[in-house]
Amino acid sequence: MLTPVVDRARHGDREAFGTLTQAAGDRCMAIAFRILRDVSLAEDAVQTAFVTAWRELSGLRDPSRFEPWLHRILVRCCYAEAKRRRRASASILAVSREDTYAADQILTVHDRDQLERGFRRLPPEQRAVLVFHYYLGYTHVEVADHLDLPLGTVKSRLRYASGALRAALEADARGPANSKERPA
Amino acid sequence: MSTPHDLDRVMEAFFEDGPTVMTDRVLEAIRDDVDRIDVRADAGPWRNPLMLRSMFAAAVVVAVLLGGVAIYSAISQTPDVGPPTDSTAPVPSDDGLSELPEELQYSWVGPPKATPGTGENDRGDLSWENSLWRYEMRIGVDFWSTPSLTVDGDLHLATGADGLCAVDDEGIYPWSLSPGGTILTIEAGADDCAVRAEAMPGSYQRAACRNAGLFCLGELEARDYASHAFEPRPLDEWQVRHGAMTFTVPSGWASYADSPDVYGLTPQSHYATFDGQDCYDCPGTRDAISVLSNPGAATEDCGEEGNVPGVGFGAQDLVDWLTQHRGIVASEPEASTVGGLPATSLIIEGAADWTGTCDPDNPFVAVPVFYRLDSYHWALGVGERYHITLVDLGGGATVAIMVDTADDEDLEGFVETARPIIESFEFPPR
Repeated sequence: MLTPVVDRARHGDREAFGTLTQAAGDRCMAIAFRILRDVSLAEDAVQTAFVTAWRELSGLRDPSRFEPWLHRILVRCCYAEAKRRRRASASILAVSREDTYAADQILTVHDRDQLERGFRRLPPEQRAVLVFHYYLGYTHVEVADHLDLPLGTVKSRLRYASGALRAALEADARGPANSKERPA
Repeated sequence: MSTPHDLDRVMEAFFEDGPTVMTDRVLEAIRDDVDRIDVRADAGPWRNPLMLRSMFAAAVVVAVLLGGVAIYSAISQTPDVGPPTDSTAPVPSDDGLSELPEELQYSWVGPPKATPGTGENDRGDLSWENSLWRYEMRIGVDFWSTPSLTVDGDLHLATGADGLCAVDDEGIYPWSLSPGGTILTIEAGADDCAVRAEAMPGSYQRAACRNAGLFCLGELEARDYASHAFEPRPLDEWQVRHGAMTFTVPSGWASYADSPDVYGLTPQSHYATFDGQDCYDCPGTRDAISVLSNPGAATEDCGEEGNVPGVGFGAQDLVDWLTQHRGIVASEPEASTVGGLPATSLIIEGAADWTGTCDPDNPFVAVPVFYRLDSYHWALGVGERYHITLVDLGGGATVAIMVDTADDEDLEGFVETARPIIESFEFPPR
């Protein structure tokens, strides 16, 4: 149970906060990368999130709620990083991810590329809902809790994001234009 | 090709790839940041290590680091101040909001506001941290906002995490900057968050201290300013009091220090090479006006670091002591007023036959002048001079306004330059 550790960290115990960082860091990194699709940005978001958490921890009323509270901060930091990246480089969308992903039996490399492009076109708010639902396996109610959103907002964001990704995959299936990019 | 009805499996597979571990490098970076940030709500009073003049040519002044704890975080925790380096113009994002313009990407300080349900506040500070603004009303009580500009140019503040405002709360405020960019005025606006709606409107001073380890305003423009941390009157426990001292400067000046015990002003031409860390062996030289709160007579033994027994802390007590000090040659005291309060001015010079030294590791001949426990220790080199104005604040409280110059030959001329500023000082009671 991390609650006693959270409580110590709330009172300024750096060692306790270090324990929390180690305990929650991996999952935060995984979430941040999957929202941002960029290791460097994800690392920045995670670092900012933990530093922010350290500053704001005294305001956490219920230590048992540390994880969803931290996730909300993390997602906020991801939004900020995503916004910064949009301004910094629009061309990043064209970067192929073939070299970074292993092929699997569900997705071809090309499908991944299409999905990657479709995912990156989504606003970060919708990406976050997808990550919390599909990657972390949270129910709609749990997503709403962790992102502090109304349940209806979670459902609508999921519906919209899922529809956009389906459309990206369907469009690719219909069109031959990219066929030469497919792996042999 | 996957079919749409496989989306659940597709997304799960899509998210399978990618890092799932936070690297040691990130962990270390977080540790480093956390180590620099004191978040204890019960942090003690802020004490700045020292604010003394730099040494030049023949080592004339000693400043001794006492206590050694610069609790800058009591005002603002690791603020990201100073000129931004990214000079790209703001670009509207998909939601019509633009990045905060560079001239707003600073920390700002202001007086406290009455805000609903937050108790008694002592400050109204906006700290620029990681592209967010943290509004702090007192230690440990704050809220964060993501600032940007609307298409109409108004300030847009959004809340991203729980706190005094709720997630997704948004506020829009008209704003303006003074011609020199040192004063931000935020008008009343519309906000989902009631606390922010009460807190934000008002006038803020830009806090752009060159030395990130200190608190000060940095370069100023010709206008009125207020101190933020400086407290001229003795207190059992220091607390931020915006406007405990007010003053007016002409163009070309900078604030180099605003600590509980010392407020410093210097010409911008000197501030450009002076980082505000003022000590006897720090690099750089400058002309300066330094206001010391509650000075006490320093013992003749520089290493003793104490006050002379039997010498009072009142302005007249100190004038009498200075004029009778065997190591000091003092001019005839002149009565004046500062901020409507009685004051006495004189020039003091280290006596030629004084042999006492300061700094055992690197000794040099100097006469200890003012000492304040856990704060500053001022001394005067033989042959060097200060212009001092001791102001009686009433109730036994005194401030010493010290004027000194990099080149002693310039003292009289710089005193005349500084005089309008000194005459503008006011010290409102608590």
